[in-house]
Amino acid sequence: MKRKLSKTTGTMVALLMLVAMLGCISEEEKETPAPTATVKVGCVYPLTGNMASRGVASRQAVELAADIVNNKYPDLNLPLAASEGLPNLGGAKIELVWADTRGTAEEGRSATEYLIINEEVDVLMGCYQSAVTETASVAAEHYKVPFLNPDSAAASLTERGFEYFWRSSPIVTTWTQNIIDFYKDVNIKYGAGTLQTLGIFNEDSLWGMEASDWVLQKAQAAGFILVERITYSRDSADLSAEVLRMEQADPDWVFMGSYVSDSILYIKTMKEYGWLPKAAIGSENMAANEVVSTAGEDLEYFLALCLFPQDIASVRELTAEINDMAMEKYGTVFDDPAARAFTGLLLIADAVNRAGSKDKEAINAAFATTNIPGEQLILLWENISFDEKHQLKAGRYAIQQYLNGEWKTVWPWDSATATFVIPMPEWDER
Amino acid sequence: MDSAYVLQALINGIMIGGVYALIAVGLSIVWGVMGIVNFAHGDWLMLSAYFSWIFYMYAGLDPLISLPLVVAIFILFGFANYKFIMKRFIDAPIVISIVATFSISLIMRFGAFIIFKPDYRLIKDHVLEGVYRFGEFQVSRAKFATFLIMIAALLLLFSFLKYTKTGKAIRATAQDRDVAKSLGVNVDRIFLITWGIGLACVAVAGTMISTFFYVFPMMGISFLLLAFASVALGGFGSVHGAVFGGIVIGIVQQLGGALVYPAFKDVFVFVIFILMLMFKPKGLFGKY
Repeated sequence: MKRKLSKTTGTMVALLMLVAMLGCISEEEKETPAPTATVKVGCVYPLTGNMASRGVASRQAVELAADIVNNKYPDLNLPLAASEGLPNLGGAKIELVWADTRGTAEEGRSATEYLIINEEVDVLMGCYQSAVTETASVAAEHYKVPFLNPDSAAASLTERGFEYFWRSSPIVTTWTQNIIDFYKDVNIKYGAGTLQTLGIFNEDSLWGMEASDWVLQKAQAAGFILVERITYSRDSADLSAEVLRMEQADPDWVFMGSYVSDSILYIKTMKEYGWLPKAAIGSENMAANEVVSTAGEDLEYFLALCLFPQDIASVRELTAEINDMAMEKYGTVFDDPAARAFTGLLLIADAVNRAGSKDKEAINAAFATTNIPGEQLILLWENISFDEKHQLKAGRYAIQQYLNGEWKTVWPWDSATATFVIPMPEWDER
Repeated sequence: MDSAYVLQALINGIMIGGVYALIAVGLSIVWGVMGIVNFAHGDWLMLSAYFSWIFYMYAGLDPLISLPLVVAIFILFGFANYKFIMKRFIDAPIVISIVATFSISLIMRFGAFIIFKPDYRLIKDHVLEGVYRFGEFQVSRAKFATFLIMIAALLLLFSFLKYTKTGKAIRATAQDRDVAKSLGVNVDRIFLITWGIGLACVAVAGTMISTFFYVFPMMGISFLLLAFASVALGGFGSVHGAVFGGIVIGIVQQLGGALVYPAFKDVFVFVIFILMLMFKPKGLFGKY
């Protein structure tokens, strides 16, 4: 028995060590052995868990941006592309250190603390999900490490008065207003009363709740009538009850405050029930590559907000070049969140370079004077600079519709590359 | 709120409950016979869904066609899982077996991340796409087929347990391992077969789920929690209790979501779970 138990214990220890190794793999992983003159950028993203596909897409984008900063790309009109490394720090290279949030707020904070305390990173970026960014940035603020968030939308993140938190992405109030402006324009163009009633699906984390609150508030102010709002967990194994209830309310248009996997399941469940509103719009998550590749043709006629409309952006030489590089390296072009993560790393490199040192206070001060012109961005913005709350000043969204297997810009009308289709054709009429 | 709406929610509940039942049966039978709570059960579900997707993607096999293949493979996985890993923990304290299955779960989950990447995979254009319409009601073909296959699989399982010599030996082992051994039952072989049956059940569930749910490394967790609730309601170790529990959980979830509010649908499920643990910890049909 004693022998048996010791054998059991040995197996257990081996298994646990293996699990520990697997669990920590993302925290241990580093880009290259650290030379003395590197600037350590801690990247806090969901590399495992339900949001892992998003984290991996962001990781690819950030790695490509770091490659551009660390090596010479004289033909690219991007910040620091022409030089090798950061010229004001003697050519110091960017070293990326990754930590996995597993898509949860608790892990977000501990992963950030790990990067600050164990890895002694100089600056941080992350975390895609607003709820995770919220806790991760609290740790960064506590340790006075500059934290750039390129990809979370909850407005409250920049309302906290944090000194070391910067956001290079438009907030939820901006894009929810864009949605309402779009639908108001639809009623003007297609006749008053085309769209009157609204339904909302929203996942129950900070982002989903806040986004939907803003949509509701602005929609009601614009005269739309809410007929159903459904809050749900994005980890749900089944969304039949949600869709059934929405079908019963039968709104003219639906806002889907959903992430990626739940967007896919909603589309599939709507198809299962043979139900559609006249129009359905999601955030930029709806346009994520994973939704496109998984939902496929079922995604036809759905709408998504987009900061990085490929049909317009890819006409620009710079964006087309980056798309080519991404395609060659990763087999896919950047989607919206990936384009923002890519830009985020360039912003960090620019700030550190202008700071001229790895001193965190100097880097933080440099963020305040960021001013990158639009022609040096792959995003279609006039420039990137921050206001007194450390929030991006500019930034605008387009509305896209998935038509014939491609996202096409349908609004603003004057930028449209395709005609908006309304109402969405019934499932059995396609 | 009309009666058709309520009836539609009820139909949805029965259909999805069938899925929970099938997952729960595999969990329950392993517990009933061996006293092991298999925390890796959800990850075996995930793996079987991946097998279904692989057969579809690389061999063009519809999940309905690949189902027997996946089940056969998972019976072998069940044998191997017992022979090379779980056998060593049979006489160990329960906490050891829990940690062991939990470790297997993590290895499988993170292994899936490495091998399959975190992308979502969906099987499209299979023969069960679409819905059946009965007047004003509709049922997903995939979920309806899953329900029918669940009934067929469980009838097969019940017949096996009731009428075959091996089935009787399994039941005897579940009732009292030592007595069964003294009566000449090869308990080691029974454990081996039980693991095979447990994973066969989960393979049926995983393959059928892949027809209406996206496949990705974390998918097991959502289903496992509901399967645990089903087993707790029906009773640990009771196969028919697990079936009953699964269907009731499905109905409670869907009716709760449709009649009260969808955000609370899982709250109702886990309130039942807690109440059962508090007032009837053996579950409705459990013996342990």
